[in-house]
Amino acid sequence: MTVKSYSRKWLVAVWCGLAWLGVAEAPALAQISVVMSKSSPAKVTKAEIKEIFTGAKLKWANGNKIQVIDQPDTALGKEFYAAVVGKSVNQVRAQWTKLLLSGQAVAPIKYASDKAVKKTVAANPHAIGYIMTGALDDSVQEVLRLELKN
Amino acid sequence: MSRTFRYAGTICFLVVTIGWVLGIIALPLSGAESGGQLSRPRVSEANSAVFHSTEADTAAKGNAPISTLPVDTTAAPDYSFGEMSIAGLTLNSLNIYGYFATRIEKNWSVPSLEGAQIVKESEPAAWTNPFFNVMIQHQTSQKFKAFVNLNGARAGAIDVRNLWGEYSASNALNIRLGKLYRKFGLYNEILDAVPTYYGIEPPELFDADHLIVSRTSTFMVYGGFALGTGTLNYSFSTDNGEGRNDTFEENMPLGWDLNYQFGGGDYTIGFSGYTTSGYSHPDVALGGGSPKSGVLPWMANDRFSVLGGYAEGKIQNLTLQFEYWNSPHDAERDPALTVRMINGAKPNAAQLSRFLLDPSGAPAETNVSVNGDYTVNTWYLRAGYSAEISIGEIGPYVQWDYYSNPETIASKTFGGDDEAGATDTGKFNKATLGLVFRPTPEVAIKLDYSSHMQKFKSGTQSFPEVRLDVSYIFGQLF
Repeated sequence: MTVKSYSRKWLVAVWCGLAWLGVAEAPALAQISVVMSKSSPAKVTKAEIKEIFTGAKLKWANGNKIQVIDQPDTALGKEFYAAVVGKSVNQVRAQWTKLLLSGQAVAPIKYASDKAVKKTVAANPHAIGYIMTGALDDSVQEVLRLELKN
Repeated sequence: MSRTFRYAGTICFLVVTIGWVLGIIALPLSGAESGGQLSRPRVSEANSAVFHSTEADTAAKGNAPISTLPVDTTAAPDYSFGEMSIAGLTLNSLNIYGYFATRIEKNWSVPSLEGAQIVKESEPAAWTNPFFNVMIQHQTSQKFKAFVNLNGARAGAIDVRNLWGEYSASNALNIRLGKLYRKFGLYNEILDAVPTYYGIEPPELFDADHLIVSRTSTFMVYGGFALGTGTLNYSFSTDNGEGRNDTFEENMPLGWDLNYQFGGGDYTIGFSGYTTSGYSHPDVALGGGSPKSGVLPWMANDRFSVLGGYAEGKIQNLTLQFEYWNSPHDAERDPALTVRMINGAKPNAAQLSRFLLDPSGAPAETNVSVNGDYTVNTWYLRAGYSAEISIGEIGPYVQWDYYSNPETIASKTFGGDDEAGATDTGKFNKATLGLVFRPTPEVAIKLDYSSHMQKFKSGTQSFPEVRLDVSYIFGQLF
């Protein structure tokens, strides 16, 4: 085996290592936008978002049911719950199930894409959801932006 | 059953049914809800260590009325749960879901008297056949919803636990009518959601053998107001009274609850109360088992109240709960029923000294102590911890329960309680250690061990109990 072939192997090894590090250290989702219909005049605070997405707050002040639009099985959903609630998706699920089985609430509507969340939120003035800030467009209004620490 | 109660029940049923039918008919016709005017919640100044908001670029809207917009149906919701897909039935806003469960319990070395000797015997394992709870919830409009909770504890016996309709005028004013669980402490409304909480047994307050207050009511008003950084919640409930002979005209009980939730819903402190507002009567005949209210079946009448406080804190993955309840009874024993109870249930010497003027004398009506005033006290402390592991979620928990009821007896057939009633003092402590394992959000496997500690024949006796509960939730989940 020549010196040249050793060098090539080292180069491949280093390249693979760097590529792995690159994947492992991919930046986490930086920004999440909480969105509502453009026809909704509501504003929500961070504390209220936690209450809404854990089922502690189920109605708007006028008594209308808050329609929670969620995407818990996505990476975004996991980031959202870790940051906003400090709990895993399954732990939040347990809280919602308690409300379901006691008749106090129905489950959030679940989607798996920002596009679907925007479509539903845009059409329902009582709905609230979250998407990646990069997916924000004119169809919905952003009521709160969450910047996650990497 | 009184005429008033029958009328109230019929009215409730009609209200719920009509609302339901109208909702089912109206939704497909209208296509969407009429838009209301959303609130303008206050904006918090608080900043989080984890994230921060950029509210400056959030456009504030005016208070203009909201236009009615049709709900988009092209983006179909996904109700699947990965590999454990158990999509529920959802038609318009009709949701059907519930759970199946089965439970095994066994007691060892339970002390009892054989003559003057204390003997300890193990009870056979009690296996509750698979039972189910089916819940049907229908949001007929933004303001109205209906809920039904059917419990099938035994084959051929379906118990309607809840059947109510609710109108929400605002977040501060909601009206619920029908057969409903009153808001009372931390557990009354969620007691049927067994798979979701730590523990298998209900708190002693709501143990079916010795309920200190009836769980259900007929009419409830409740709501919440923003206060400081949290929400102040209230509720008032009333119904036809505790007993089967009570009428609304003579006995209008009042239940109430006041609590403050803060920390994004993580912390709750509150008080609940109940008063019969008059003399109430037993709701079961003597020999017919445990009462469903706070009145023992050998009482002629009983005016009582319940007052207590509770607190819950969720600190990261740790949940802590505490409740304390006190229930003074101004009661009169029925001499004939008391004699029948003594002859049939054979109460112990300490209990006889309460029931009879001369405990060494014969149990005759003239020997019965008519004054049956007594006070029930109970409290518990519960702690549970949730941890995610590679194969699901585990939740170890510990509980300590205390219960004191000097009037009760051991025979459940005669309306007593085989825990407190089998002691000298009517008091016992129960320490519980358990674990809940959820391999998926739909399945809960709970195993716990309790040690009962009580005074018996002037000595302290303890005996163990082990329970296993397995449940499977079906239908539309989060």
